[in-house]
Amino acid sequence: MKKFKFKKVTQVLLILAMAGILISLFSGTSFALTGREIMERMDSQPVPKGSEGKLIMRLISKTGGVRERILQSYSKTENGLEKRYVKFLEPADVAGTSFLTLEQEKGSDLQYLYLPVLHKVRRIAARGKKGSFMGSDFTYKDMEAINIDEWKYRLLREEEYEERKCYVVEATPADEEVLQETGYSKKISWIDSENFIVRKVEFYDETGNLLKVLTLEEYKLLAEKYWIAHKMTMKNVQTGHSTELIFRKMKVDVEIPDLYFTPRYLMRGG
Amino acid sequence: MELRKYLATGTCLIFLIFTIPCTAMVKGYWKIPFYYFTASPENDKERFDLETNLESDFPLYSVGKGFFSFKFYGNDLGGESKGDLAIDEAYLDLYTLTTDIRLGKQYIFWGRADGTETPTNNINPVDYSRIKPDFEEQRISINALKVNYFKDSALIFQGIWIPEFTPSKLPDFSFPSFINLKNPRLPTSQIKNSSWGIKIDRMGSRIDFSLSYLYTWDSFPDYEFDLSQIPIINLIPVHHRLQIYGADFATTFEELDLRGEVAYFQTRDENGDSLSIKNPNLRYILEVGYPVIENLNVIFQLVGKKVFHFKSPNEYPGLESLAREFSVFYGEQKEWQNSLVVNLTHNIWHEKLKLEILSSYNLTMQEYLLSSQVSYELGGGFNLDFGGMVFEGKSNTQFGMMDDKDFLYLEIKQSF
Repeated sequence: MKKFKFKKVTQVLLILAMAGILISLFSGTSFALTGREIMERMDSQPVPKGSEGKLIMRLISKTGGVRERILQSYSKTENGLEKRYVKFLEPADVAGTSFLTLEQEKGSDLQYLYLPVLHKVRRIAARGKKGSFMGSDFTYKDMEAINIDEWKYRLLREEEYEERKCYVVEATPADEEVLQETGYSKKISWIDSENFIVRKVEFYDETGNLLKVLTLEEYKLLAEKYWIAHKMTMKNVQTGHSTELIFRKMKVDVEIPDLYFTPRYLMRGG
Repeated sequence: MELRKYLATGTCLIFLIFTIPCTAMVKGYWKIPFYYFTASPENDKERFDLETNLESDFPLYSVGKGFFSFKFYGNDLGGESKGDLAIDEAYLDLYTLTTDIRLGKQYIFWGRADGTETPTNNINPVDYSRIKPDFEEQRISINALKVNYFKDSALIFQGIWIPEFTPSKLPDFSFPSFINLKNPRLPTSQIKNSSWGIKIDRMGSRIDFSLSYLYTWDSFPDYEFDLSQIPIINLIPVHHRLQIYGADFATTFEELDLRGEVAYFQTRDENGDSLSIKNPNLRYILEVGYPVIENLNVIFQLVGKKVFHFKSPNEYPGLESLAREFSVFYGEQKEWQNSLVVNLTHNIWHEKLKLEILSSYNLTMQEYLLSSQVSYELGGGFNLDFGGMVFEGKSNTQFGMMDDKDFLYLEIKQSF
């Protein structure tokens, strides 16, 4: 009887173990993935060569007051270097102000600004990455594509977020320079375990306190291969201020004339 | 006058032809600034104006675009009201594969340094008679043809042609009692009196730079004098030809903006022999801008001028007083003059509030200008500005002459 019981438990464990191996083999998930590998999978998502669309930026105060900016954006990637042209459409007092950013292989980005009131194109330095992007809760660094080598990763757990199964990955700066450049001591990301897109990110300040929470929503599959979040909300939990970025009329892999990414186009007033 | 008539008629016709089939969207603003002149006489301390701007641009099929804007100024609405409706800009753009052409009333700003009165920015005249907290708004638009030829996306050859002369507008200065100011003598509207300029511009490299040449008229008059009615001296403002050789650069290093401009002004008085004509001179700006902390930027500028063939008023026996007046008007009190300009801007509350302080201190003449401005975004396109400007200096300095023009202001503006 005892022998039978032992045999039965052994059989159940074996079946469970095999089931576990099979689940992990066929589900494509896995406990075997490290934090770094998850981020690499996220980073290897295809990125459009060119895109254009309207960007609505909503600045929301702690008391609920809303200020809105609308921008037209064009971007293009050539030889791994991004070119970006952004023009303010609203509010009326800044309408026509345009930025051109040309990523360089070496050194800082080339940046040009056109202010209609000055009637001229000005070259400007790429300001501190920690600085606010156009008065929003996003920093310039937040708006850049992630460089995965700048961070060290650790898979914390797997959990459901907004009814999606997610990996929860902690990222800490790889060195002091990254900490200084970003101002973040830690980031915790919720990565969708099915398609490896980012659902949420928590940003911690240099003292280790939670600073901001970014949520990415309204993902749409464009051109049948690009998962693009059409709404991003960054909430500063320390000040109560938040910023929504809403993309409209987004087009990907469109042929954008090279002219748009030249000072010449800025000189015309866009 | 004939030339002006043809230009005006031509511009109107072109506009009618191209604008009729277009449906353009009109944008603009209105604003009401209230000024309080702290040093003016009791009955002349307050003033409020109204300024309205309507503008629109429209595509010219696929070959270019058109733009026009009208401005209405209502000056001193509480007192001696003066209205002034004018076309501010009205131009047509034509784009080809390598060339962009702009024809019509426009602004053409040269130079890479901050501020509008920089050494190489001499194309549009300046309206000093209209007090404005924003110096950019003091420029006067001109009729011109501008052609940009793009050798590639980074090398630009620019040519400009300005058919007729427009003088700068000077503020009402109180001249000494022995001076009688006559009407100005302006160049006639003839082709031979037109102005032109060329510029070679390099962008997108490690250092952006340009070289320029401008054959123009001095928009600030020289003063011919007539001593036939001594002790009264008659002064006649006269505009002379001016050649300006300029260069500028801009680059960045880490978070620093580095800019500079230099220009040689070849006046008509090449050897500095004439008392009444400005001497040749060299002007320069060196500028560094950087973010002190997040959203707080500072710009330092060294602004200088070297007068060639300099003579002190004492070298004009019998005309010392007049020579002294001229030296102030012409900015030729010293052979070398250097000023230090500091501009601080701070954006807070997610750019809802903007603070700006500008100070310019002339190290040579010990005169200064101090300006401050607070801008608050009210929402709905409304902005509220508050600020002030202080001029200080001895009577033989340019800011000293503006000493009684210190003011505080409050302005409400709606953009739509």
